[in-house]
Order: sequence, then C-alpha cells, then structure tokens
Amino acid sequence: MTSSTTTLQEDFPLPPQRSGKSFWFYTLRTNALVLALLALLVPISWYAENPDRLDPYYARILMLIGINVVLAVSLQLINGISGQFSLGHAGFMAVGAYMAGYPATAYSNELHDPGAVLLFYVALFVTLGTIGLLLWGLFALLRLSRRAYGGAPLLLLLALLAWFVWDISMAARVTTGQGAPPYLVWSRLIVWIQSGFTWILERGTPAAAWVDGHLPEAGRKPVTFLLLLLGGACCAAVAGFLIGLPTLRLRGDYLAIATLGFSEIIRVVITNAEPLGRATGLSVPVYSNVGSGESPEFRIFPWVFGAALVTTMTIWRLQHSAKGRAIAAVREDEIAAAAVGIDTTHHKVLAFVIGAFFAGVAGGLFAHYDGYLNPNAFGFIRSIEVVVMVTIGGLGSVWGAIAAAAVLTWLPEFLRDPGSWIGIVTSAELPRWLVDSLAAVGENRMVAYSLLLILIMLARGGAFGFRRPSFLRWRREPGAPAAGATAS
Amino acid sequence: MQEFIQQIINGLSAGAIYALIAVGYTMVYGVLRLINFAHGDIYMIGAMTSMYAFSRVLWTPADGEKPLLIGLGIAAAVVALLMVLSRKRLVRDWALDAAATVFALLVVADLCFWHQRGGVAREPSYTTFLLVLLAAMFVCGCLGFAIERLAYRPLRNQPRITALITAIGVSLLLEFGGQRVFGATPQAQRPLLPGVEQAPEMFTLLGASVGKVDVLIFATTLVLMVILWALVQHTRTGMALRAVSFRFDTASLMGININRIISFTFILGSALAAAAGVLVSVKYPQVSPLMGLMPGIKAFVAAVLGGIGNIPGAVAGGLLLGLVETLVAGYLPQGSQYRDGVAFVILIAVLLVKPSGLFGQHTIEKV
Repeated sequence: MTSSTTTLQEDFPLPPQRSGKSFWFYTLRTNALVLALLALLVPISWYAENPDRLDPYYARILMLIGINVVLAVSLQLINGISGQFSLGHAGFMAVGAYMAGYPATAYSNELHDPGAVLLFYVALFVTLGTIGLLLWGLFALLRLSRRAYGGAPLLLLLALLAWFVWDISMAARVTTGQGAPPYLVWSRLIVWIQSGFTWILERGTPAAAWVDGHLPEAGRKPVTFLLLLLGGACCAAVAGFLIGLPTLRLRGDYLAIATLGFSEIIRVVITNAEPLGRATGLSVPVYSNVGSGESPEFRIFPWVFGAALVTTMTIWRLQHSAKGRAIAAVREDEIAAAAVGIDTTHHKVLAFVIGAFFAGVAGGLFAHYDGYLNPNAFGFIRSIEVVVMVTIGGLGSVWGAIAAAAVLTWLPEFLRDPGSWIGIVTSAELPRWLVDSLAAVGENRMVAYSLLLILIMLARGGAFGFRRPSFLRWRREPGAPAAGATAS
Repeated sequence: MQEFIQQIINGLSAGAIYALIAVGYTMVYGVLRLINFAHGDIYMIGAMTSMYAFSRVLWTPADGEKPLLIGLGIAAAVVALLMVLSRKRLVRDWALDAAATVFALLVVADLCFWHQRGGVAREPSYTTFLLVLLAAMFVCGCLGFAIERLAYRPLRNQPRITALITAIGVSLLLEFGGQRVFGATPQAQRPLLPGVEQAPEMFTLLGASVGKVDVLIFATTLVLMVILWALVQHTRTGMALRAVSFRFDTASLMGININRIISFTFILGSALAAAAGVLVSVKYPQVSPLMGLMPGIKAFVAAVLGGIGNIPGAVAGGLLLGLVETLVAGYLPQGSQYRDGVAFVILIAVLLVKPSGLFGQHTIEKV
C-alpha cells in the first residue's frame, strides 16, 4: 500500500509517436479539424440562442457544460498530464471571475469601454510587478545571507516578519498623515504602491477615453469582454505561479491539501474584501442574456464554446509537444526526469500556470454569463466537482475530461426531472409507475449522483481514459495487497 | 489577563474537538494512506445521532419511536457487554476492564431507572449523556465499518486517487443523504447536562469562568484518549495496528489479519469522531447535515500539523489549532472574519517549513 506506483506501460499505452514536435506545429488534419469545429459553432449558437428553438433552461445547461469543459480540461493538464494532484481549481476560477468581474463593475459602463478596462489591468500589473520585484529582492537578500552564513536564516526571517507586522500595525499613522515617524518603511511602501496605482489610473484616463472614443461602436463590447477574460485569466495565472512555486515541492496528498488550503484562503480573502462585495456577492454586468434575441455579435454562446475549443486545442497540442512529453516524464518519475536533464520545477510550474490561466478564463466566462458572483460558489465543493470530472474522464485523457464534464453537468439536471428528458427523446407516454419512480429519483437527485459516483469508482476503478479495464490487466500493481486475500 | 485565560479555555475546548476528529484521520491515513474525506461527515452523523437519541427519542418519544428507544438501549447494553466479554482478545489492560465494567454497570443502572420512570428519561443527567455518547459511538462505529467494507476495501489495490475520489463520493452521499433524511435546516439540541441552563459555569480559574460543558469536553476527551492510548500501546490488536501502519505487506506476512485491523481502525476512528459530534452538539446545541465539512478539513489540517500518522501528534495538533484559531479571532483586528483562513495558513506554513509535521518522522525518499 505504501508504494502505489503505476508504470507507464500498464496505465498509459502510448498513442503512436507524435513526440518531438513543437507546440505550434499543426498538421493539415488538425487545422482542418479546428476550422470544422469553429464552423460548427455558428449553427449551434444560432440554435441555442434562439428561445423559439431551444428552451433557455437547456441553453443554460449547455453554457455550464462549456464552462465546465474549460475547467475540466485545464485541471486535466495539472492533475492528469503533469501528475500533480490539485484540489484548488475553484480558487483559480474565483480569481479569474472576480478579476474579470470587478473592473467591469468599477471601471466600465455596461462593458462599453475597453480602454478603461485595459488601463485597470495595466495599473494592476505594473503594481504587481513592483511588488514582485521587491519580494524578489528580499529573497535574493535572504539567499545571499544564507550563502554568507551557511545556515538557514530562520532568525533573520523571523525578525523580518516581526518588523513587518509591527510596521504594518502602525500603517494608520501614515495614511492619516499625523506624525508618521520616518522608520515606518513598510507602511510607507504600501501607501506609495497604492498611490502609484491610483496615479497610473488618473494619468491614463484621458488616453483610455480617447481610445474608447475612436473605437467603432460595434467592436467595443466584444473587445472589452476579451480584455476582461484575458486580464482575469492573467491574474489567475499569476496566482497559479505564486501558489505553485512553493507548493509544487510537495507530493501527492500533501500537495492536494496545500492547494485546497490556498483556494480556501482565496475564498476567505474575497469574503472579506470590501471592493469585491464581501459575502453578499458582486453583481457583474452580463455580456448578454441567453435567448435575449440580441444581434449575433453580442452573444456569449460562441465565446464559451470558442474558449472551450481554444483550451482543448492548446492543452491537447501541449500534451503532444516536446514540452508535454517533458511534463509527462516528470509525472512518471521525477528523479529519472531530472537525471536526463529536464528542469522538473520549470515544467511543473508551467503546467500549473497554464492550468490556472484557463481556470481564470472559465471564471471570467462564468462571471459575465451569470452576472452574480458569490465567494461561496467557489468553495471546496466546486473544486471537488472538477476533480471528479477529471478522474472519471480518466487521468491524462483530454477527450475523457470533456466527455465527463458534459455528462456530469447534465446528470444532476437529468435526475432533477428524468421523465421530461426521456419524453424529449421518445415523445411517448410513459407508464405511471415509471413516472412516479423517476420523480422519486429526481427528489433524491444529489444522493443518486453521489451513489453513481461511488458505483462508477467501484465498477471501473475510475477510469474511462487510457487505463485498461480490469479484466485486461493481468498483473497486479507491485506492493498492493489483494482485496480480501488475507481473510483467514 | 482574565480575558486571555478565557480565550485559552475556549481555544482548548474547540481544540479538543478537533483533536478527537484528527485522531481518526491520522489513524486511517497511517494505515491506508487515504485521506478519508467522509470522516467529517461521520462526525456530523454522530452529532445527529445524539440529537435524535436525546432531543427526539428520549425527550419526546412518539409512539412509533418507542421501538427505536428500546433498540438504542439494547444496542448500548450489547456494546457494554461486548466490551466486557471481548477483553481477552481485544483488551488486556486492567484500566480498560474497569472502564468497560463501569460503563456496563452504568448502562444497566440507567435502564433500571428508566423502567421506574416509565421508560423515558425526562431529565438530562450525566448517565443519559454517557448513554447518548455510547449510542452515537456505536452507530458511527457501525457506519465506519460499513463504509470501509463497502466502499474502500474493493478499491484497495487500485491507485490511491481512486480511493480518494470514492471517499469524496461517500462524503457527498452522507451530506446529501443527511439533507434528505434529517432536513436541510439546522435543528436544535436540548441541553444534555443537568443544570447547564441555570448555571453554565462550573468554577472560575483566575477570574475566567470554566463552563460545565468545557469541563465535560476536557474530561471526555481525556478519558477517550487514555483508552485509545491503552488500546494502541498495550494490546495485541494495538500492536498489530502499529505494525500495519509501519509496513503493510510485511505485517500481513507476520500473520496479522490486515482486513480486521483496518476495520478496527475505521471503527475506532469513527467512534471518536462520533464522540466529537456529541460533544459539539452539547456545546453549540445545533446540528445540520453540512456541519461536518469545515471541521473535517480543519481536523485534517490538525493531523498534518502534528505529523500525519502520529496519534499524539494529532491530539497536539488539534489543541494547537483550536488555540491559534481562538486567539486570532480574539486578538487580531478583524480576526474573527479571517478565522476560517487561519487553519489553512498554518497548514501551508507547516507544509513548507516542515512537511512531516511537528512530531512526524522525516522519511527519506529512496530511489
């Protein structure tokens, strides 16, 4: 039980060799596939956005499927392809959602000023970059001192921390400006950074207004939305970098719990942040209401499925590129990978950051689709849902994750009212007892969902992906005892 | 100073509850290397059992619930009897013999008094508390056994992630099932102890008041921990448990029945979680189906803090976590809002600085 090693050969019968190609190398076939899928988006979104053809309820399920596909595929990169077990995907989604939602509420008027939104992100990232440089300098100092004195500078670290806390606790003196002593370095620094942020915003406002004024009216809303999605996703990627760099030293369960902890910290911080609406939540302007009959360029449906497509293609290409092979090598055996010259930290953090980026995209889509953000929507349960999708889809399989995301989003809705779904397909009169028993299932749908989850795990060992079914596996994993084998 | 001592007492009584839950986590992790996510929900079932056994069944039994009442009494008596009878195999310690005998006597005595009072315990008493505690531990022990047998054992030779997802599934099943069975709204528990409503304070310590409930929590936790320590350190079963957690396959080569030991671990851990649930329902008299989620995760943090797989470490980690949480909530500006985040900050600090925990042994990775 101690060593549950899964070997490459047993679990991942590799597809025909496609390795060694660059990420950007697309074959003719792949390009054709992407174009075909893109072309398919047009009739699908036309169908889904028209309330005469598709009920808004079903359109909503389709939207959530799209968002969950983005989430599941991006988590597949972290959990399946790079083999790091993350339980904190909802945290990155929350960062993406709030950082795409907040500037839209605070700096834009109904998503019509891309310049202002861009200005916000510029100011934000300049500020973040300044803080990052400062921290980097601090760590460089620590590293130097460690080199100079040989031992770990724990005392120095503690002294710094104490200084920092003491300094920050006096910050009110600097902000109110009443007799701040000159030695309050950190507080002053924070106030400077804050005022720098507002300075950039103030100075940039005329330029932003000029940009907004010279953009054609039709393009303003989509461009704003694109900027919001990218900005939120970049914030999530930064969060992924900051979280990944220290925690990716941990392995297995420890990493899972650390990522879970970080996502909970993100949730607690959002719950207490004044501009983000605290626990009452944040109302965000929606991009478009599904089925509102707006003109085609203002529909959110193509955005969601376009994002799903881009995410899938990116991660699929990444998986089969040289970088992806390196990431998979780190998953299979970190020490062996390091021995053949793969920078393990670089590749693990890379996978983590890209996964966090797309989780942020999903968050931004959710924010501007749903129009209401609540920190409790990004809790532990949300992360678990995505992990379940990835696991049932089969670790390492992008297409499995997509299928599982679709099925598991649809399943609770199906269980809510199974009769009507069956009625859609068969359009036949169902017998009374069947309708009643289906209604009973619908009432207990979450119980049925969790039971199904357990049963799927028990029946298939949780894998529809690359794993061979149990009757085709003839060798037990080394070290693992057989179930019930020692029942004497 | 007085306020500080009050905070310490509150923190310790919160920590004792974390400790009881964390012990179950750490034992299961030590044996199976599985984060048993359902453990927090077993704690919820413990609290629910105590609420139903006391506020519903003992206090206001409807006609239909009379058999349940009798069943509970019989179950408690059977457990006590089993504890006495099975001492040759399971327990080889005079202290445990004595404890089991006292338990059995108490249960029998209380059953007799019930008979006198017409079959219903109308007043809260310490005996009733013991009985409810025992009933909850029995129910949750059975539940833990069943979960391991039905959900985890078939997956034992699968990758660990499969078992982890199954544990999450079991946790969801208990939560959603709890919402269907018990209702989604929180329900009130009647005071289980005599005279708590009139005089909640037991004595004052340096000006800080120590409540009866706090004393009860400390006493129960202490007794259970002593029993657990005796079980693990001084019985053959405990020795087998330690052997299994040390090396799984070698232990089975030594003739240890792995399946029995794992079942035993689950029963023990679940019973302790049930005790935590009962105690928390005494302290905060409200139970709801989702109450196990956060304490469950935090107790896992406590187990990691103390060094996972290490039972004294889990206790220390639980107490420390409760203390730090209470102190942060009490003393930092806006600390009570960040209370839930504290556990995770501690977790990440521990994982980064000393991943093996405070008392855990550093394992060297072999290539």
